[in-house]
Amino acid sequence: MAATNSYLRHLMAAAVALPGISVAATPIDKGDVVVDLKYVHYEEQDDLMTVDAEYLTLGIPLTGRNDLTVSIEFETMSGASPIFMSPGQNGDPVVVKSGASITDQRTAVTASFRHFFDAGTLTVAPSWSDEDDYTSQALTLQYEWDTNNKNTTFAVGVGFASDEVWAEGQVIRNDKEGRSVFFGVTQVLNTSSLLQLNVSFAEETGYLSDPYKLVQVQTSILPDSRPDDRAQIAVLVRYIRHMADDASVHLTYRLFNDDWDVQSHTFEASWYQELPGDWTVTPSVRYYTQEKADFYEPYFVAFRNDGYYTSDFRLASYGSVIAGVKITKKIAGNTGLDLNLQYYARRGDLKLGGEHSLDPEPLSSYLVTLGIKHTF
Amino acid sequence: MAMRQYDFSFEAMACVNELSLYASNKRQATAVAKKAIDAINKLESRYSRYLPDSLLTRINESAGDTRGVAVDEETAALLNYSQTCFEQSDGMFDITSGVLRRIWNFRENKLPTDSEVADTLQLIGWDKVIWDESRIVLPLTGMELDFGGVVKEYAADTCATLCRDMGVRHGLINMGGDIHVIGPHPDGSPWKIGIQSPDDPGSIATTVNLKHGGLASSGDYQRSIVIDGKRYGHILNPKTGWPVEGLRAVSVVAPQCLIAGSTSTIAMLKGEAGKRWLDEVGLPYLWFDESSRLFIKDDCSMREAS
Repeated sequence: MAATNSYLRHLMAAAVALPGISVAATPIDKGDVVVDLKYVHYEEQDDLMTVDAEYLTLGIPLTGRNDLTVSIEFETMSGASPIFMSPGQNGDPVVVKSGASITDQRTAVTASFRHFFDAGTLTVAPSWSDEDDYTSQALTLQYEWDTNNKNTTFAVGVGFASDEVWAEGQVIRNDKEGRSVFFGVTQVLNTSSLLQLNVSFAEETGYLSDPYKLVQVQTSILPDSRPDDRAQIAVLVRYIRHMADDASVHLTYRLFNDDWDVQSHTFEASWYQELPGDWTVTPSVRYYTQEKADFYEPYFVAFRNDGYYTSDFRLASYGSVIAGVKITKKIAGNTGLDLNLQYYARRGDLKLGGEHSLDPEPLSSYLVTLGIKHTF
Repeated sequence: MAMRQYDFSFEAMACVNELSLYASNKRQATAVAKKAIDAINKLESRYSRYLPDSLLTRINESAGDTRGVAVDEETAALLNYSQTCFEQSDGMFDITSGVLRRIWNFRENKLPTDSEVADTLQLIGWDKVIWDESRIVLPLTGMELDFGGVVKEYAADTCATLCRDMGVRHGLINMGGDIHVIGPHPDGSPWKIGIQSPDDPGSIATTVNLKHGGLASSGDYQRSIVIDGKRYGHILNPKTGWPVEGLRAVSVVAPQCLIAGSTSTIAMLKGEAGKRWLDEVGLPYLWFDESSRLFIKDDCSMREAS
């Protein structure tokens, strides 16, 4: 349960150290059916992409030792997207966008089956996603257990994904595969703080380019072309501290590195504040800074020996900031409402230190999520 | 496979206790109940202050001996839990306060003298105890620990955990009014738990519906002295040595019976101020005031221990 104040939090922390007390063996909301509906609206400024999505999540207890969560997502995207960049006057890159508006629909289903063993919890989560130009099937397996009087929690996981991607109208379907392993440890430091460390390794192979993107090399326009292998490592460190007055602070740092030379650092801070009347307010800020892939240029003045080219700004040197606030309100005991607002800004010169990529069109967007959750 | 309810009644911790569980046959139910009751008996043999060879008796007999007694992990966790309650209740919940029983005899209509109270208060105070998470020292001769309000509730939780570990999904353990619901009836309906009226322990004042988790009560259900028309309850303030006033009885619903028990005890000890404090804690509750009027926090019987 979510301890609602510091009194309960302290008692819970002391009680779970007792061998006869178990909190882990109780499935989601102790055997209740949970229905969660969410509506998401995402909009990029300057008439770029707009995304509307609806999510329906059902939590279903099966037996005392098993439960199942199924999530269905419908997403509609429309708008224009940058295709490549050309050198303009003074050599500054100029963005060429898709003229006509792209529309695409995505349907995704994720199931998550959990089995509670005496010693730990196994999660098996297959997922399927289908859109006009992309299909994906994935499976993750995770096992979580605790030791040391529940003060230390370990998690190990593996993931597999098999995707097909093509540009609309193209006949050729390109395959892409992904494999990942994950290891996590969460350590309770004292009654008011805990530290979490996650390390994951992932490898993608196959067609990793973007079939819609092009690059300009001298005067030629070539397709976006990336290596067919990408190895990645990510390390996440999170510190959570409960404050005296029904509040907690979460500080997160994430390091990402891959063999395309992309390196990024993410810093995130959020403050959970409980307020009278079953309200919670969570303001958060996130800063992201990235070092570009070695084959990224806005446009290329020379051909590359390896034949790899991309002008996809997501692989450029840039920085971004997200500021957001999440507000939840519990009504009538079993029903909760939540509203999440986020503003995102991406710019070359927000990058931390060193050179950043030339950035003809800084991106900004906002995201609104509205949700209602009911426990039966 | 149809499941039937099997009920087991047993004596432990100075109470008649009841374990109800659903199983597909009697053999299975009996096997589970035997293990669960054994575990409760084991806790009693360790933490009873009446048994001459219990660990608790050994600790109490060491009072005055600065070498103290080394304790195992489970006992350490119980002591840590009790210490947390002491800290969180500003010293009102105090497992050293049992010595007040020596001067408060609720079988005789007689009040202790001021000097008796003052002398006894010298022996009370968890802050006087030396506790380093592995060894406990009761520095003054005559000091005493009492796990009343902790061990019976913990026994209910332990029993529920064991039953769940052995596959029981529907059942309830009632340790003399301290309850842990293992899970609802197989059709999903809650257990209906009657709350005694403090004036007439034979009658039910209200019913609490519970599907999971703990329910515990604290109050002047039986023992009290009436002198010159004034009632003296048996819940004693460890700081003054006198009975607390303000509430007759409190029941609290929490994920664990242990937490329900300490919360209802602390609310009783806080007296009148306990009413507002219960709201701040946020768990479902009900209380009877001095005139035995019942107040139910609106969702006490509807909401689960969540």
